[in-house]
Amino acid sequence: MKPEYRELIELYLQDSCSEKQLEEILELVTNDEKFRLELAEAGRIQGLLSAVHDSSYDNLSQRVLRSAGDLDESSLEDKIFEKLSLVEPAEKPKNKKFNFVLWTAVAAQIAIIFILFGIKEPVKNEQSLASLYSEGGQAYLIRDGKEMPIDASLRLRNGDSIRVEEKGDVSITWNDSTVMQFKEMSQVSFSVVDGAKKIEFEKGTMQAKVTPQSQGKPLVIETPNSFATVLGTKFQLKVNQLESMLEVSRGAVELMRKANKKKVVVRAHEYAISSPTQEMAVNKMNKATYKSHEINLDTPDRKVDIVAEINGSRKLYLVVHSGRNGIAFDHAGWLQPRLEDALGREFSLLNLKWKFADSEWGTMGVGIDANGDILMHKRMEHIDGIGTHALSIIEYDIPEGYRLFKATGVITDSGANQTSSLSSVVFEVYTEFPEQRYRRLKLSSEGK
Amino acid sequence: MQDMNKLVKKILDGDKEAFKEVVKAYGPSMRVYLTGRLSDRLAVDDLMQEIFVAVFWNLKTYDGKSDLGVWIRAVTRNKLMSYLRSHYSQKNSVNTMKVKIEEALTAELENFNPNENVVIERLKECISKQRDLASELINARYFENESVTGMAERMDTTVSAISSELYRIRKQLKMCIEKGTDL
Repeated sequence: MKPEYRELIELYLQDSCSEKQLEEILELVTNDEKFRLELAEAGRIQGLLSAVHDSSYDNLSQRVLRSAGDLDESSLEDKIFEKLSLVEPAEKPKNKKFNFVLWTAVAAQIAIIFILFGIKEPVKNEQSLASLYSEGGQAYLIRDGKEMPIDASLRLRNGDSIRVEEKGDVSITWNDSTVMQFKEMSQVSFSVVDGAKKIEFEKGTMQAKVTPQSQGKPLVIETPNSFATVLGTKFQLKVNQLESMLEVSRGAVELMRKANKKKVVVRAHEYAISSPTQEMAVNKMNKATYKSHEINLDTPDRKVDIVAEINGSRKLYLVVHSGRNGIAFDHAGWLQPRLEDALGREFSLLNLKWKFADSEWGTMGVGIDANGDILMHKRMEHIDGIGTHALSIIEYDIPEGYRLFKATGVITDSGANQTSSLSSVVFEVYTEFPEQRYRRLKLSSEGK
Repeated sequence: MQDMNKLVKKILDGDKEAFKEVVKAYGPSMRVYLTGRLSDRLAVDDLMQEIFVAVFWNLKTYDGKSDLGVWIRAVTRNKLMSYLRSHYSQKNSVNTMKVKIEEALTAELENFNPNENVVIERLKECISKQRDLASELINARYFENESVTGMAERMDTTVSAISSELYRIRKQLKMCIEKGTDL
């Protein structure tokens, strides 16, 4: 396939072709079978990758059944009679005479207007703003001082609040299709004023895909120390009493620090932190050069082989963070950490002294685990490893000329052998200080 | 198909909850199909909901003789085309061309497979075997939805280079899914 065709396919799949490029694609899909198959296949792989990312269908099922329930198939007449029967359990008129049916229907329609207003007076605060769904439970709706567990029958109304426990979650789908998910001890209140959504976000973690909002009616999120103004985008916001951290995946969000009213615009792949003590600045997100999947007690040998491309970098940051079930029992080890050059020659990282190290719990050291005991993995002693505990970071200045960082990441026996252990960790490697990632993880673990 | 027919009967008999099984079985195929055609993920989510609601209400017209997946694919295709026509309702040449291209492509798309989850699980394994650069590109392009232009700018390279790398990655992923070949 010609390189220019590959480029055309990419541009087409992201919906950013010019008119001329579309003409070319139309010509190709019509007359060039190979190109047509290639484009169809590229779309299928893109679709499959998307399905990997969005693999839960429970939420969709709930929404479908709710929508199907809302779309009552019964006719207008049925509805009128149904409403009439609410106040007067009289028999439904039967098809006796046309004029009788006609007059009944007319009378009923007039009556229903009054009945509907009488029965379902549209009090503004009782209007449904959004649907609610909790996959893992432990999420509560607070209305008029009463707290109730969230289930699919509840709708969000003006003035409602939500509280989410440590392992709980709640997804909110607004009437305009904006989707928000709250996790990790979130506390949040909702209101709509003159058509504009306002969210008071006291603490927790929020992820959102915001549908473009009406002109002049942005979504505003107030945290203890900032205001975030959103027009339509995808972002994540983590909040505690000390700081708010905003990361934007798509679009842009304006963040204003309450202390001095300073504003910044945070765009895709950028982040900003607002706190009373620190000047607000926009930074690029650093991506991990390596990230493991979650290692837990079901992982074979509780270990993962780590190979990270460092491409001659002079800096190395080793991060261990918790899996999905909090930081308890998360004892980890970096076994045989080493650097490898282009010729495959290895250099043990243990020959170097780290520049900085920090962990959320216990001790860190070569040959010792987080309890300060001998580092053990699967009953084997490891003097050639670094023991630590999530959340942790180790910073090294490394010699030049190395292409790869290699190690075996493990859950040490000190974590795995505890009663009722739920150890689960993730290993990440960076070549630039992952400030945004580390602070985000810190914010999460502080909430736990 | 027999199991699906039993499921359909249960739904038609009033067990609405059983419809969740239909969503679970065909949701992945539908997402794969729609996300391959629409770059807007929010639009895909909305369309999926709309299609499944339509399937729910029209189940009584399903005769049980053909594969349910074929039937749902037909409903999906029709909904997609009407979405595209309404979305690109301005009758300018760009929009007309987009609809024509999609019409040409739908002929190449496979029927809905209730076992698409198996393919997706295999793909997850394939992704986990990716080297770092490939993993980063997949993440940026397909999970973060970053444009190839943005990626090229960020990585200080050309759109053509990124496109070629993505092309190579897709080929490897396809091979890995089909033959279990390691990357």
